[in-house]
Amino acid sequence: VVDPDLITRIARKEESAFAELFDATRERIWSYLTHMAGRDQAEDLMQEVFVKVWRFAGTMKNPDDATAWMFSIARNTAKSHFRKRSSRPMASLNRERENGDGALVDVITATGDGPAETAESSETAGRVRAALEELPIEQREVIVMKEFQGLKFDEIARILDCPLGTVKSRMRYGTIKLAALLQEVR
Amino acid sequence: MSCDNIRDDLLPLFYGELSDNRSGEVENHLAGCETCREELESMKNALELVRKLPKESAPAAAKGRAISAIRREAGGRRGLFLGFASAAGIIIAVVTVFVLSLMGPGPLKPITAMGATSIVQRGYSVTVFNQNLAMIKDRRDFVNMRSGVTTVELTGIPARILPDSISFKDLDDPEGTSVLEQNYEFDLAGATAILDKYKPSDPENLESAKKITIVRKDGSEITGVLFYHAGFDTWSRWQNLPGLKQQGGGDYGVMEQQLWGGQQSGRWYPRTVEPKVVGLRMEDGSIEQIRGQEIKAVRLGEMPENLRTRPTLVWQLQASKSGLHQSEVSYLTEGMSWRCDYRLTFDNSNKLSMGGWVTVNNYSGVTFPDAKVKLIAGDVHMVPRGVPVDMLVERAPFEGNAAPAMARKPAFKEKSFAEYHLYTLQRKTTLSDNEVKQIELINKDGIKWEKKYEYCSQVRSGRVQVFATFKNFENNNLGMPLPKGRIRFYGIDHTGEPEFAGEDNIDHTPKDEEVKVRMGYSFDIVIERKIMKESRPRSNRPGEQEIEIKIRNHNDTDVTVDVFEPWHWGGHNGKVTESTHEFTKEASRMLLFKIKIKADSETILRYNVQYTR
Repeated sequence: VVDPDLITRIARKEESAFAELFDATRERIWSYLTHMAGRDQAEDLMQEVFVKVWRFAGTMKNPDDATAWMFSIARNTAKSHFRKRSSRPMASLNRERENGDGALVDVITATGDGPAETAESSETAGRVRAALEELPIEQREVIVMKEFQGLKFDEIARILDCPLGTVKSRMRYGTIKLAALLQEVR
Repeated sequence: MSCDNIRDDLLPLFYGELSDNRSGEVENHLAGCETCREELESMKNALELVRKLPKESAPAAAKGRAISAIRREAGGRRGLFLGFASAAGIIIAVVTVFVLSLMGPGPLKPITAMGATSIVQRGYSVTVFNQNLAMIKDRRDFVNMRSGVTTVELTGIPARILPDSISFKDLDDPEGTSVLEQNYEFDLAGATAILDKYKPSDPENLESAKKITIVRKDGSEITGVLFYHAGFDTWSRWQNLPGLKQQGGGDYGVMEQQLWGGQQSGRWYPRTVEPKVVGLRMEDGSIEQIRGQEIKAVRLGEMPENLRTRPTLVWQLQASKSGLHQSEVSYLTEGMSWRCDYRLTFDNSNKLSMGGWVTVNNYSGVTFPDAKVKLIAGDVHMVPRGVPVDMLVERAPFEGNAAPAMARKPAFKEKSFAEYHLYTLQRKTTLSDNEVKQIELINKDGIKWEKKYEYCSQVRSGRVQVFATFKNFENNNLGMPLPKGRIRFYGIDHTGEPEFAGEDNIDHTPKDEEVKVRMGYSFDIVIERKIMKESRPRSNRPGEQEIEIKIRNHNDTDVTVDVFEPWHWGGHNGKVTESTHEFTKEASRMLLFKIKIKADSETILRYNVQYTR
């Protein structure tokens, strides 16, 4: 959980608070980004996330939601990364895409075997990762937040700004799909 | 209770996130429902696998990177992030990674050279090429030069200098001063180099020698006089090079040129050498030999003298006049490059704004404080090192400090230079070692542009590509040569925030040319191409092809798609016999149909081609 005091101090541009926050959250942000955007991108995205935290710390409204606030920054950064993938089809520029999760899902498909994946020492891990990547992004996201960030369902709902029921059902559908994809692994 | 009311809470139960009441309900249901039990079981198994994924930690350097990023935010930012800058001429990003204090230049203060001649660094002029190369003009004053032969040492030299490219010009007495001999010494403080300095000059007289302490990996220490050590010898690579003369005593890193302007094509790759074996003479006269693998650390009393901690040029200068000599030393160094990044921001209007930044990388090994910076755009032909750049780069004399740039003055002044374009930064700047510096090149608004849609069945994707085109003309608020680089597009969304919308590279683009950049594929224009009829031409009858292309426009505006169609078939002559739309011949074997499609509608293009042998 992110200490809201740290964010307040960061808003006052205290570098020590920034360093503290970085240490406290680095692994969680890192694992979120690696699972959402891939290892290759995560490093740049991570920096982007923390720079945004630094820049926008003053705009955080509710200190109780510091964790959710930080994760929504990470989430938006990862999302904007998906738009940047130039080899993907481009969504219409004239249309509002802010709520276009559905459209985005079509865009993101399994990324196949990159060098990082082929170097995977364990075949199982590679397959689990590939299966995760096959999930629609909003389902994958919930699973990543739940399993790797250890967030509670209501926290996830706050981050995603959607009803609790939606989060639970995304989690369920995602996990069922994952189970189907991983059937032969077991 | 039905399964539907329960299912979404199976996992929350598993994670223990249900209220007691609800937990009871779900558990009761589970007890009586095999389907739900199975579902939960299979989900648990899947999550188990996810949980077993090996965890990877964030890279150690991430923190340092983030902190330098926020520091430069604090530096001089105005609405900037990853290229969103607006302030003119502001240095927007300075990433200092590690500046070894050892390698720092310390150039602006007098450096005492042998023979009381001192050298004062007066300024640098740096011309950076696109291709990992820079030409440095280094102004030095030799104070108190004596007539006759003097040995001087020049420091503040990049580690990645190309020693064969160095040239020297005495501005005060060009005729009377010359460099007789030059040594480029890179006897850096590697382990072997340091040990060398600890070797007793007279092996018989060990009293004078200094003691060293070796710490073994198991923690034990051993102290004695260094008797011998052996490592790899970097000299071997250089022994047979023509024009090179080995100099006695200069181990591991002295490259010598006998005279000026040598033409060796060899490169200098200094590397520090770890000792493989060390022999110590103990106080009782016995010799202890320690293998390199066993050594954890070597403890020395003090830093030996005459050990160069930074690359140094050692010159034998012959001067006919004594006193002050102003001079210019120029050389090429690797490890510097620049590139251009552009940002195009567009909204629903037909105008876009363009920002361009120059990113200069300096990994040459030295900091150039307050340097005049020039950038050469264009791909320079590289010929054997040492010749071309002198001819290529204009020989601008060093001026005094230029007046600081005015606030809105363009940061770079562009001027055509031979086959290249030379951009001169209007003010001086410091290029630190291990630094990525960004400087604004252009910032223009109100550039008219068009979106173009193209489809060509030969392009594999089978989708409609979107291009942005605009004229690089002065009457379109542009009209300046654009160095090659990456263009990123940002569309302003309904909240007024720029959103990334694709990127492409542009080549060096002269002014008065059209720029066409690929933005990506259209999402809302769908194409289906079918060959309806096909018969090969025979000797007695012509062949035929009927092609149907359906284009659907799901945009809410009308669009025009340029459809490129190939019409050759193994060298047969083709003739379009029928077509629903007009076309032009784009090339000898390509037809171009300009198809207008209304918003939310479909247009069908159908044409027949007859082929005769």
